[in-house]
Amino acid sequence: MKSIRVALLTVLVAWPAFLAATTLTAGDDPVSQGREIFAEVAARNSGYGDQQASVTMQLRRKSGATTTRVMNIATLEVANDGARTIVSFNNPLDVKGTAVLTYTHSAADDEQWIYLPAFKRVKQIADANKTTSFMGSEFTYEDLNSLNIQLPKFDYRFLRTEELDGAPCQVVERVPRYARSAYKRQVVWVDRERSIVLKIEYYDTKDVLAKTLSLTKFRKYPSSQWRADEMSMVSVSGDATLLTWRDFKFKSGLALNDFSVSALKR
Amino acid sequence: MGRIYRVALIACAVGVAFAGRLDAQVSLSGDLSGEVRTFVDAPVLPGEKSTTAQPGFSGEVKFEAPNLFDRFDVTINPYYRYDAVDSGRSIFDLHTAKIATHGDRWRFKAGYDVEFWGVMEFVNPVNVLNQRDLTDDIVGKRRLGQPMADVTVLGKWGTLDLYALTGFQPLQFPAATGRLRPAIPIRQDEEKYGSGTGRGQPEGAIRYFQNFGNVYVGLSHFYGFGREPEMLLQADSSGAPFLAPKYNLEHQTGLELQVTFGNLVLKSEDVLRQDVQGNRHSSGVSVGGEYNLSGLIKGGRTLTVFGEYSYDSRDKSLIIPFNRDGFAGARIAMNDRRSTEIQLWANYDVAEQRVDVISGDVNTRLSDRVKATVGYRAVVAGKGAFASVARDSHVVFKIQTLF
Repeated sequence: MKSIRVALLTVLVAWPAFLAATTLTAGDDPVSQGREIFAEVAARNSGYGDQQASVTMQLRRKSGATTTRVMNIATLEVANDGARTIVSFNNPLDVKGTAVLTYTHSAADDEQWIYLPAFKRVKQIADANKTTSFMGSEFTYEDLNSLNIQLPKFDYRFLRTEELDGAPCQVVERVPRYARSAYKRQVVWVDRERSIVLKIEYYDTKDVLAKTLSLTKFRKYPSSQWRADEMSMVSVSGDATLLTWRDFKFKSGLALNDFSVSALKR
Repeated sequence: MGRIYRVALIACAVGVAFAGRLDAQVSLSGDLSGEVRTFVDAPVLPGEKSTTAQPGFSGEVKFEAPNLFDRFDVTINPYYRYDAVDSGRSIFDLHTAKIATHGDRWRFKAGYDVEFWGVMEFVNPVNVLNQRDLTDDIVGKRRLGQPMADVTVLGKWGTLDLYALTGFQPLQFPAATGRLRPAIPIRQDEEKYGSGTGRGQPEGAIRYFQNFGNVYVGLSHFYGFGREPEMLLQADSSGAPFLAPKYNLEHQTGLELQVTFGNLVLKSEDVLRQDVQGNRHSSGVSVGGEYNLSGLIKGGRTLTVFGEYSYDSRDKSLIIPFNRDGFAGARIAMNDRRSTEIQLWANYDVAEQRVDVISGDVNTRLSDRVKATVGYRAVVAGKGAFASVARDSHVVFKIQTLF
């Protein structure tokens, strides 16, 4: 009887410690757990080759005023070194023909060029420009570039598990490792089942929440990638930007040449 | 190339567009702008019309047919400008009329086009292929289309362009009735060429560029007519003096350098020129940088400041207005829904110790289809090369309607 009592006591005392130990060993530490979650996001997103989409960007001011911009976004996956993206503007008409080429490197600083049709000139943009607004929207170039997950660019920390609109999510904090970021940290909700990013909270350098990105209306494409048709960035000021993606095309045979400085000039 | 040829080319392209092969792919865009230049002072040179307001309009159309027969991109972009007072400012130019195609590691294009070389903001000595549109704006950046064939080869080692050019475009000067001209009239009908073939002279160029991490390097060599003419002082039958532009055949070797350190971009353009006889040599050096100060202002606005110095061993004139000059400038992009931009700059002639020009521009979108620009060009000292334009400070109002 005594031995049973001792055994019971031992179990009762040891149970929380055992639980704590198993949680830690099974899920590793929060840092590697966070990194693993993003490694899975990156892995499931890779292999699309190239993609093109037409994108409508709606700027909604707190005052109620709205403005619309229309562009095409083409992206090429580069083996072992991130991606190359060309954003070409179609509307408003005074920026029609303007195009921005970005090399998103997996670890090194990104490189960016803009083509100005009025002067037929391609100009390299200083890295600091990434923190400025993208076409007057709530997005910055940095926000757009980091939608292309480059694992080494952040430090990660798993925070918790929680549901977001009914979807079980893993919530991970990521801290930029690259210079001149506008953010101290970002908190990211990753859909547990599909390994896709559903929401990002951006905290400025003073660690104050600046804005929140929500990705919705996901569709699965034949190349097995999930893509969000809508991305909504809402700033704490009340201004918002809605990106609507349409007509996704994958693997249309785009090559490095299509994403060169020479190709920017039209 | 004659005007008939140009019209035929456009007609051809439009014909193809309406042939129905392309429908969804073809795009047509452009603008029509009304412009008034208002001079602060009355004119002083003989012949200059005494109106203070100089109205005009300009317009351009861009016709694009990408992926024609799955292979070719056709782009046609004619430009026309009319000035009611100064016929020298009225021009028709084919900025672009080209056919282009490409493979995995190469590109090819042939026809009229504008190719920008260089990295500087104010003076681009390296940028030699296209003639400047001198009468558009005293400090303007518009260039005239140039007939060329260009083969581009791309590799991990960089990009190499080979150009064959012909159909040289001479500078267009203000007419005797126009402002912003030298005291002695320039007669374009007395243009001279340092080669018997004249404007049909074959020209060639080669350019290599590459990014090595944060360092950009460009190397180029050009053979053809120097884009800035030598001015010969001559007299007509009545003994009245005039200037005759003479374009000499020369070689120009150029270097472009740019280094980016986060917020700071340092850059340089350098050229050596030598005429084909080996008698005349000249050089040009531009150095400077731009600094992004966006962190200092709130609301997502972009503030960039520029500082540059430009040297040219040739004499200062209205064609080469800056030869030992420093520049300071700033550009503010408001990043608002009207995409408002403000740009300010001034030169400082280090040799003469004076400011010649202060320039300011504000442009904003009034609606999706209408854009407005107000600019001011102040001729400050009005001495030396700027003496004949001392009283030509002016305001430019421009309303652009886009389609």
